[in-house]
Amino acid sequence: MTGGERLMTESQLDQILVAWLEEGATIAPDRIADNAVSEIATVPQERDWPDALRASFSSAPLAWAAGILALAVGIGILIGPRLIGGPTPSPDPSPSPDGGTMNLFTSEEDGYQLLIPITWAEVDSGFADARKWSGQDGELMVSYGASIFDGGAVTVCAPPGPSLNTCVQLEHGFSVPFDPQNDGVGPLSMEGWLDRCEGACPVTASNTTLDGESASQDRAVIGDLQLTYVSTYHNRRPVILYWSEPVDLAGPERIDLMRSSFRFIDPPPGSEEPFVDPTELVTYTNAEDGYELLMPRFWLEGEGTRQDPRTNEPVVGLRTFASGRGFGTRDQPALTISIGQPDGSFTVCQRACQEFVAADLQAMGQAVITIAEEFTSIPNGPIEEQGDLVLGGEVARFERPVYPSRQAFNCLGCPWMYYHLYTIHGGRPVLLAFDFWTIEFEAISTDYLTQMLESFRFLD
Amino acid sequence: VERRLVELAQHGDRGAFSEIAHVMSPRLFPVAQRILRDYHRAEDATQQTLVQIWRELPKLSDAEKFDAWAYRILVNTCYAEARKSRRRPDDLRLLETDSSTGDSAVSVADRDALERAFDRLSAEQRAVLVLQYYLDLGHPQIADILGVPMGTVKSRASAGRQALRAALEADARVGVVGRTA
Repeated sequence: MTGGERLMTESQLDQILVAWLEEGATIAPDRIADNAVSEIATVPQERDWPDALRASFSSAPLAWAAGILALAVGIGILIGPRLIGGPTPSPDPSPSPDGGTMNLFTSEEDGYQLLIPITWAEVDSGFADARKWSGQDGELMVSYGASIFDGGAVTVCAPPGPSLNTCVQLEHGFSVPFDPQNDGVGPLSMEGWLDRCEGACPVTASNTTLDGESASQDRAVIGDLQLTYVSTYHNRRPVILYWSEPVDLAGPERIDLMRSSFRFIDPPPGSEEPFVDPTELVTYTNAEDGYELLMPRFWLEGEGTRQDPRTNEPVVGLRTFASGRGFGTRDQPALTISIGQPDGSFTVCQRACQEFVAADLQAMGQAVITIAEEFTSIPNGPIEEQGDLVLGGEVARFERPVYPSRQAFNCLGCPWMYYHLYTIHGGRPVLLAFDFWTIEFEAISTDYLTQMLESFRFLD
Repeated sequence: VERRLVELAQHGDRGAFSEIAHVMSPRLFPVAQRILRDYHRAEDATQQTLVQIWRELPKLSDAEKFDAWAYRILVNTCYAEARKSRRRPDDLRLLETDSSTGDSAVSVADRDALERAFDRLSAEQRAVLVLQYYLDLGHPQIADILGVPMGTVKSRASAGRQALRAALEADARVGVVGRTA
C-alpha cells in the first residue's frame, strides 16, 4: 500500500462502497427460518441466570467442559505461541550507548535488535509477526512480516483506544514477471494508512533509513497522540516500526535514537539459499502422461492431483497447478491438465470430477463447461467465445469467457469460469483448463500464457 | 417486527417466534452475508442468530428495541463465525445475486480489489461498514447496535474505508482494469 495522490473523493468512495455492498443476495433461503423454528422446539428460553445455569448443567454438562476447553484453546491462540513455549528474548544487560536510559533488545529469532527505553515493558502485541513495548510516555510496535513470496503479510496498527481493533494485515505481493529492482524493496510508505481522520490528516512524510535500508517515515498527530511509522523492506520482507506517543511528551530525538539503533540480524552467511525467481518460466515435464510445457516456477510448487470421489484415488492423467488468485476461484487450481485414454475417455474436473468419452473436438466441447450455468443468463454477464488454435502440433479448440461490457454482472469473480483449450492426440483427449480469473487479473502476464501454450508439446 | 409478536414470543409462544423468524431472516441474512462474504456461513450465522434470539428473548427488557438487539446478536454471531477456521476446502467466494442487479456500478476490477481488501479487514470493521453502507445507519445507531462507543465506530469505519480506498487506488495505479478478453 502506498500513499501519494488521491484518486477519488470521499463521495466517490462512498458511492462505490454503497454500490458494491448493494450487490449480493437480498433473498434469504426459506430453510433458514424453517430450520430455526424446528430447532427451537427443543431449545428452552433463558428466563434468568439461575434457570440458565441449572439448564446448562443438567442438560449439557459436556458442553460446559467443551466450552472451558475452547476458551483455554482460544486464549492460547490469542496470546500466541511465545507465551506457551519457545525461546523468549530478553533485554541485553550490556551497556547501552545512550547513557543508561535504554536497553538493547536483541532477538535472533525475530531477526533484529534495537534500543528500547528502560521504562518500557514488553507487552503482548497479539500478532505473531509483531512485538510491542509500552510505557507511560509512549509505545512501539515492530512488525516484521512475511516474505513477499509468501504473501508479504505484515501487521499494521492505528491509534489505540477503548475496544479498538484497528490492526490489519497488509499483504505485499510481487510482479509477474518478478521485478527485483522494485518488488519487496523499500521504502514502504504508510502515508495512506495514516489518512484516517475525518477530512484529511496532515501527514509529514520524509525519507530515512533503517539499518541501511531506504525507508519512509510518516508522522501524523491524531487526537492527543503523535504517530510515527518507519517502514521499509528487508530481504523482501516488509518491516514497520510504529511509535505512538502523547503529543506533549513526544520528541524526535528518542525515535531517532531507537531507529538508528535498529539492526537486522540476518542468518549467518552461507546458510542462505541462492535467490530463485518464483515467476520464471521453467519447463515442466510429465513423462508419465507424455507432455511438457513452460510453467511459472511458483505454479509447480502447487502441483497436485485430484481424487476421484468414488475411489479416493488420484485421477489418472490429471494434474493441477497452483491456486487461482481470482476470488471465487482462489482456492481452485490455476491450471488443470487432463490427459485422457486412447479409448477417448478423459476426466473433467470443475465443481466435481466427471469422466466423459469423446471421439472428436465437438464432443469434448460438449463435456467442458466454460461458464457455470447460473452466470450465463445474467444481464451484462460473461458470454462464451470459441475459436481454433494449434496445441502441441494438433488442431485444437479454445473456449473462454468474455465480458461484453466493463460494467459487468456482479458475481464477485464468478467461480467455475475457465479458459479451456482442448485437442485430441493419438485418440487421447487432452484438456487444459486455466482458471479464468488467474488470467483475467493478470496473476500471470498475458505473454506468459502465450509462451506456455506455444511451448506445449507431446513427448511421443 | 410487531411488538405484540415479540411479547408473545418472550413468553414462550413458538408460533409467534415462527412469524418473527420468517420476518427477520430476510433482513438478517443479507447483512450476515456481507460481513462474512460467504453464503453458507451466512446461512449458519443467521440460523444461529434466530435460535439465540429465541433463547434470550425473555431477557429483552424493551420490545421496542427488538430490531437493534437482533442485529447485535447477529453481528456477534458473525464475529464468532469469522473466527472459525478460515474456510472449508470447497467453500466458494460467491455472492449469489438477484438477476435484477445486473447493471452494476462497480467494475470487475474494483470488485476484485474491494473483495480482497474487505477480506483483510477485521470482522469488527466489516460489520461497521456493512451497517453503515448497506443498512444506511448512522454512527450513533451503529454504536447502539454494537454496544461500543461512537469513537470506536468511527475508528473502525475510518480504518475500513482507508483500506478499501488504498486497494482501489492501488489497482487504479497499476492499471488493472476490467478488460474485455
